[in-house]
Amino acid sequence: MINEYLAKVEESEKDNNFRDAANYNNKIAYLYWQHGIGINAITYFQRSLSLNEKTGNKNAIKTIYNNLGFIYSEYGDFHSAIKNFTESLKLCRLQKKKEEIATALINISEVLFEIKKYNELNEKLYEALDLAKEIGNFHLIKNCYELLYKNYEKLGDNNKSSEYFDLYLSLQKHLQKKELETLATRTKEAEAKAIAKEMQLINAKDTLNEMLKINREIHLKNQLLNKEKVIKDLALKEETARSNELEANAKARRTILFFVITALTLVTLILVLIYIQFNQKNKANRKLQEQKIEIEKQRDLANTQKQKITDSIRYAQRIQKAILPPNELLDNFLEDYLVLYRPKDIVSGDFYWVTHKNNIMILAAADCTGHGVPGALMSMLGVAFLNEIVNKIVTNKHITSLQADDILNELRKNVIHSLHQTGRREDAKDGMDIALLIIDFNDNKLQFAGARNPLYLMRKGELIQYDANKMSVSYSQRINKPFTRHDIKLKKGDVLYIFSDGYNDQFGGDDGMKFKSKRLKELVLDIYQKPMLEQKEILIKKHEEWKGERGQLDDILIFGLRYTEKKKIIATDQPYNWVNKNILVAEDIDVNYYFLEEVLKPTNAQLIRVSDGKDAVEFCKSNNVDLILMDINMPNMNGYEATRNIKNINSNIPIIVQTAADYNDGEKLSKSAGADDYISKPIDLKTFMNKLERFLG
Amino acid sequence: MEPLFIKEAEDTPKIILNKQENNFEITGKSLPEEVIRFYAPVLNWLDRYVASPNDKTIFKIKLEYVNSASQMTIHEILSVLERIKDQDKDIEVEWYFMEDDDEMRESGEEYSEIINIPFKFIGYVPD
Repeated sequence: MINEYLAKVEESEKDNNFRDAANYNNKIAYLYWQHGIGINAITYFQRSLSLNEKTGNKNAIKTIYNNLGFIYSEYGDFHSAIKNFTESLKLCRLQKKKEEIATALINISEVLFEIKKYNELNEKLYEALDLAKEIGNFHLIKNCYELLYKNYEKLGDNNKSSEYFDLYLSLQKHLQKKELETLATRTKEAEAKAIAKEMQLINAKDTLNEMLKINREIHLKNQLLNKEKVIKDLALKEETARSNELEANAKARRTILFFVITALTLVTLILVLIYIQFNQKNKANRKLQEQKIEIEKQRDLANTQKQKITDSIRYAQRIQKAILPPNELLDNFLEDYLVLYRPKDIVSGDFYWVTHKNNIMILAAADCTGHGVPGALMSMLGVAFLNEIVNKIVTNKHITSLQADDILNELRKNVIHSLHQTGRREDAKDGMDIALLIIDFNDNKLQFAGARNPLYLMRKGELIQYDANKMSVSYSQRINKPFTRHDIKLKKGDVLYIFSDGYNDQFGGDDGMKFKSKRLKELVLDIYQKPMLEQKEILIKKHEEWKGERGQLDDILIFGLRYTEKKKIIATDQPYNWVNKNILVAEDIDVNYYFLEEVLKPTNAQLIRVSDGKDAVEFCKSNNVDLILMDINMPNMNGYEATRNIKNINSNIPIIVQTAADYNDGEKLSKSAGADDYISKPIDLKTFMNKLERFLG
Repeated sequence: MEPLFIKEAEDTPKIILNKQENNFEITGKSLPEEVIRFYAPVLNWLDRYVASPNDKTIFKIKLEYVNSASQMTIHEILSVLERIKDQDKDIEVEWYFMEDDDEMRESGEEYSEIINIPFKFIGYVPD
């Protein structure tokens, strides 16, 4: 190869083609250099240099000076190295190529470092650093930092040294990081290169020998020109060759060492990465474990809480069940009835309520807003209010004066008042829909009033619907509109249904539709003649079929009853028996008299009514009277005067004066008139009956 | 004004309130567990809308089922819509009900009696 190039050089020189001649000299020089024969490389580079100077190829000259610098540096001829690098630098400066200037400066600095001229190289490095920064060449910057930290170390400036060491290290890390992605492929490449290099090194010796042979030939030729010099050269070259061999071996060792270190670094790096990842994973696992434990804790807590809540709701259910009318109470009145009561949840917003007095039964089926606990709370309120309202009326008035519409009006007042509803948006909107029946078994009369919930009455194969008012028992714009009362004459065999909307609103069927009232009407028309309990079974079955897999939408309540003849009720709540007792009632106002009549009817006492004081006195003159109930304000003769007169006739007849509550001196006046007792109106029934019992019992 | 969209869910209706496109509708079932919370954004939106309503507002209500608590809120919504009249603008409610659903038809009639807005009753056959 080299011979070939030498021939080309000769040829080119002959043709005065200095450019080619220079090129071939270069190629020879590179070959020698590659094979570690720097000394020959120098010769040919120098030849190429003089040829290039002739053609004025500045780029080539610059590169050759640079190469020469490296070769001299390798040989330890640092002064020559500096000289050549400096020449290269000069040309770089002329061309104003910043990267090359910086590189040249660094090269010089490296040599200066070798010859321990520490003071001289900083200046060059700072210039190189500035240039490298200017062009953003990180590798050059890194090189500068490296030399700077080493140099400051030598200069004994530890602060500066560590400052640059840090910079060097961080930059190196940065560059490493950037290269990390391509590291795998690079490693492979490096491996391949290393193997190739090793192969080269194995061959190096052989090649070297060949080279030496060629060398000898060349030098034999040269001998003819300068015998003495050649002999000297030969001796020198042989020595150099030996040292080259050593150098080559050393280089091979260095190369191997370099790759071993690189490989070790890589392995370490990978291990570190794996460790970090492993650590993170471990941490993540630990965290997961902790979270899992926490979740389990929470779940257990939630379960416990849920259990507690469920337990508490179940207990609430017992209370709710307890306040619903007991079956015995219904059995007393009704021979054939059904209660379909199916809460959506454990407790229900639907409720039914029953009370009775003197063969009059008051029955309600209600649906409070919401279901579950909120509904149940409302239902308790509903039951409490109904008890209060109805019992108040029953105790203080004639039971027959009970009006279904009044009860709903009163109930609405109570709900609005107790929930503080004023119609503002943020107010509670809760209330209840209700159907209320008053069944009078004495006279076969029925009253119905409804808030949104109607009454179905089945008679002779027909369904008669009594509409409810379109307002619920709560605050609404119709607050001033009273509820409507329907008065209905009952016939034996009539079947009545009242219900909440839960049954009709159930989604189901094939299309997920609402059951709707239409279907319920058809259904009850079909079955109303069957025994009520059988109807209940059918209603449940139909509902289940309709619902299918779907959940129950709302609480369900249907109350049905067949009206049969009057059932004899034993008035267990009425302990007085005044049979054969004659009570004279002096009362001019009809309503008041009717009330007393109604109140006293269960006692079987005999009532005689007079409408003024005079008649009362007259009656007592010729009749046997066990007790007189005396009103005060009456025409012709007032109660006090009548009392005095009667006491004059027969002081044994007990007289109870009824005074109006606003007469504070009623008691005093009654006593002075000779009355045995007095009672203030409106009458508290319990007190009243107790007083009467004292005289009649 | 930003439109308000609420997706239909198992127990709440789809709600579209869009002033730009003049589209207002409530469709589906209304039985939310917490009625007041669910309808609060709707009422807030309508409060702002009725302050400067479109020239003609047609409010479509096509509900299959309304639980008793929601009934109060529908009333509340209609009461807010009533205020559009104060602005001298038109408002109409289109009340849709399934042909054989007496409850929903009656419920609409009930509202039309107490709310001072013209109601148009539209029966439909479910598909």
